[in-house]
Amino acid sequence: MAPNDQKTEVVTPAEVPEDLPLPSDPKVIFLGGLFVLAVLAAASVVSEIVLPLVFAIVLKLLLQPALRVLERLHVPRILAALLLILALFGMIVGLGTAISGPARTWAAKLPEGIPRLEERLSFMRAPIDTLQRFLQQAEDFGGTEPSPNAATLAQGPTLLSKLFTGARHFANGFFTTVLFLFSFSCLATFSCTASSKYCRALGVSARWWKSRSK
Amino acid sequence: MVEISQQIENDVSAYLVTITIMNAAVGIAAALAMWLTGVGDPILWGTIAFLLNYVPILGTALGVLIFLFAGLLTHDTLWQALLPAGLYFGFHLIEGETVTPMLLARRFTLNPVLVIISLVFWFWMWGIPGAILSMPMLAITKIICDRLQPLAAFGHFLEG
Repeated sequence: MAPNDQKTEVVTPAEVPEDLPLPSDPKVIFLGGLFVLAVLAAASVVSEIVLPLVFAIVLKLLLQPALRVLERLHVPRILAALLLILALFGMIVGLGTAISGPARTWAAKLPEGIPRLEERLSFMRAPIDTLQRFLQQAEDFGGTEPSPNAATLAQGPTLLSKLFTGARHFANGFFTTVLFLFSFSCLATFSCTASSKYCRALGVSARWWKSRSK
Repeated sequence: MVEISQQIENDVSAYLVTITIMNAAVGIAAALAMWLTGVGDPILWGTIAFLLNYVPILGTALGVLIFLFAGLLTHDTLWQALLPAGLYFGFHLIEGETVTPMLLARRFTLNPVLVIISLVFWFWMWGIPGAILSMPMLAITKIICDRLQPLAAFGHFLEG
């Protein structure tokens, strides 16, 4: 076996940092954190400047392949860039003009459409009333005094307001629950993967130290 | 260093072009679906679907609600009213779960928790433009971190 082959069997110290290098100096971590915070604070304060800049960078990266295609077709770089910008703005203006009319029509339809929607969703009236009755009974069972204006309240709000209030509360709770569950499940999966990789890195590191001490 | 920056630029560009083409495909499909289901104004719905597809998770949810509302306002029968929203959701599922993951390499996949956190954070900071830019910015950060050795651990953290 050649000496070079023997070297490859021993884990070199360079292999561990190559796997997942982490900054070991706390000063570097804190300075990095402060730098990120400063950048985010600046991005928030001067968003009028930063936002167009970010859009410009994203658009530049987006249009780069098209620019390369035009360059391959022997179109000068400046002319190609100008053509692409003009095409993009033309498309935005064209789309804006094309959708402004229909968008206005739909916005005008909206107030007229709400009673229609209420009518369409009338099949949900029975379950909502049942649910409300059930909640009222549960409240009564719990010993809570019925509110003096309960009758007024029962008659007062329309089906739509009942529906949307209930739906809003339900959506709030449901969204929070789903978000938490989703986050926890993803975090669990991620932490399992990350910990296995770090354990592997630690194992490699330990083997290296052992081989070195021998 | 120049070579690394060139590679980063190429990767980011490929990522952005891929997701834009896929969003455009979803927009065209949604426009066709709205036209075929009789809702009308295909350009408006196609543009909405295209833009909303840039916003992860919440964009799709909002799109389904908008299409459901449009369907309910247009059609009298319930199944016809549900059809546009159902079709849009179907297109999104095909695009998001099958086609885009096939086109993008695993190194471009992002941690879903961080996608949501990034979405909420940038929406809070910059509003709607921030929500649209949140995913591209996170992907750009990941690609840069992957290519720079001292930031590789952070790149791994951002991976899905």
